[in-house]
Amino acid sequence: MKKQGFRQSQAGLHTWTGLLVGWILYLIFLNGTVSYWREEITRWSRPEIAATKDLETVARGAITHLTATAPKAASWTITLPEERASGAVATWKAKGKPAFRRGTDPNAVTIGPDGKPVTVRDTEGGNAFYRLHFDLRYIPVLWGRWVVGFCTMFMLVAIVSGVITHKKIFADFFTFRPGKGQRSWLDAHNALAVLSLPFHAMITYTGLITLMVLYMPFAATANYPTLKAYYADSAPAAKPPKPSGHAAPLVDIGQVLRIAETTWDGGKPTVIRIDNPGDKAALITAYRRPSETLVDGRHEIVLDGVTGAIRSTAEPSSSGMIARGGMVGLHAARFSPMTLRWFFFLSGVAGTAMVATGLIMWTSKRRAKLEGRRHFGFWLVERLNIGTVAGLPLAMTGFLWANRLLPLNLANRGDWEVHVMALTWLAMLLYAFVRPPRRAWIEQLGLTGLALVLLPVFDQTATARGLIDSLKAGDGALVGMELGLLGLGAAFLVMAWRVAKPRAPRKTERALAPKLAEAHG
Amino acid sequence: MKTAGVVQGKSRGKIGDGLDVAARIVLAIPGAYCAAAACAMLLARTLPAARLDASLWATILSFAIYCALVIWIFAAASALRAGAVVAAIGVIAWLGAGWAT
Repeated sequence: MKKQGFRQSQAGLHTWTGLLVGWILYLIFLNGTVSYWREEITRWSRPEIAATKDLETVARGAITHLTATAPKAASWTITLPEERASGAVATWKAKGKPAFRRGTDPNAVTIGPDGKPVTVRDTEGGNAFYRLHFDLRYIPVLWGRWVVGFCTMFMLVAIVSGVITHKKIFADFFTFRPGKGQRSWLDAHNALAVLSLPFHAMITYTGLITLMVLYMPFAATANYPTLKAYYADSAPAAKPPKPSGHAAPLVDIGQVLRIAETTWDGGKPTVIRIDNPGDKAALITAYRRPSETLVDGRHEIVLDGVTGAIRSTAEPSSSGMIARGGMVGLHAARFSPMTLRWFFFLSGVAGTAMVATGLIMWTSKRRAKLEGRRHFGFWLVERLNIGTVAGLPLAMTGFLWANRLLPLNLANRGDWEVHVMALTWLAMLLYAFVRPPRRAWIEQLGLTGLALVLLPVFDQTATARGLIDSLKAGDGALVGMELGLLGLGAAFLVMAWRVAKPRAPRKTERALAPKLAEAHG
Repeated sequence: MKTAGVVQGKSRGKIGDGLDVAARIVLAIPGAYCAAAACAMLLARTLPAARLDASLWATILSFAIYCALVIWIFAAASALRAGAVVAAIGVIAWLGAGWAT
């Protein structure tokens, strides 16, 4: 042990922790990365509804709808579209009923840009990938979060041990020896990892912080009798006032938007909750758009529901709340403008590729040593790599196709989109076990590429919001989606082609082969 | 196939190697977690800040502590020494947190 030294011990730790959680990390990275376009994917998933900048019309429409359908509700909640999103959601809570938590809210109605309720297809849109990123699926949410947290902790250890392992970390960054088998995978893995190392370290640590009290509740319970007491202190929820029983008209919603804008220096609300609507004791709480602040947390204004007078304002202000909120804000990047968002996305792509190349390296390193002998562990890892690295993107593309092709009146349609994703992945995992590995790689990568590039083709021919329509309408988000799908598809097709292309070993490679075998023997 | 780097010392046999790795895994996953939790409690009660901020900062820092402990457990000269040190850190932090109430 002593002879072997600190760095070697870290190499072993890096290899084995990396493999153990690699597939789940790949899923987390891939879905987290596409979640930077969550709003755009949701917009793409609901072609029935156009984007709007006119919040007032939408908010008025929501109030008109709620006044008509639920005048005696305990509270109304209006979720206004973010800058990158489309459609508002108006919902209400009956007196004495608990607030709605999970699944499909039966009271929720989507309000279109003209202020009228619209029927949109039942879909989770970008939320499907977003939730898969940290909740997983088909297992209880808390289990999913613990599995994700466990893997994230492994990732943190893998990053730190990876840095220690590569003492020539900055030299590695400039080293790329393409077309040399395992060497190339190692170089690619190092370059991808070093290139976006600051991002990886940030995203892993802040990822833990997003759910930190779930993972490590003991610092909270050390100072509070219960976790509930801690939460009550960290996010104090104002008790809604008792209704007075005297009717009074609600303050104009346009005025509420203007008050918010003045208070927040031009900011806009994302959610407006109205307690006791139509009563003299009505209370309005407006929550600020997360895109307007780096620090995650509640930025709110509480208004008298009748006069519109400001009762109180709040935002994260203590050092701990700002530290937590800032880290969560960095992770989710809701604050991020477009240019920075692209950097986040590309760093996420690099991270996903880093995990993928690490997984592939594990097999390519061992293939040479096995010299064609069968080995159960190797066989398992090799097939799981194919079914995950190539199969999962295909499954996610399957979700997008399900969004387009499932009948609009299908019961639980939104769930079925997710089932299609899960079933496609399962099929690809099985497929990887029955085909020769190289064929399986080519076929799954090629299929993913095809499925991706055909989506914009389908949109152009079968829907009213194809690439050309969106270009004409000047709808940047949808143009970006269509071009993004084409670009990603092309990338997968290139990868399939690269695997398929028979390649004679180059001179240098032949000369190097014995040396490399020695170095890794 | 090589075994994990931690056990490539010459002195142990195959079973000894396996035991060493198993011991370090147990130390790293539940062991270091408990020690990090104790450190988080100690920090939550001793950081010079309001109790909410102290709890938040202690929680934020606990993951760095956990990570450092895991790395060190796999680099330590022996599983036994790693175990002794992690246990000592945990117990001292735990007692300190109790004392700081």
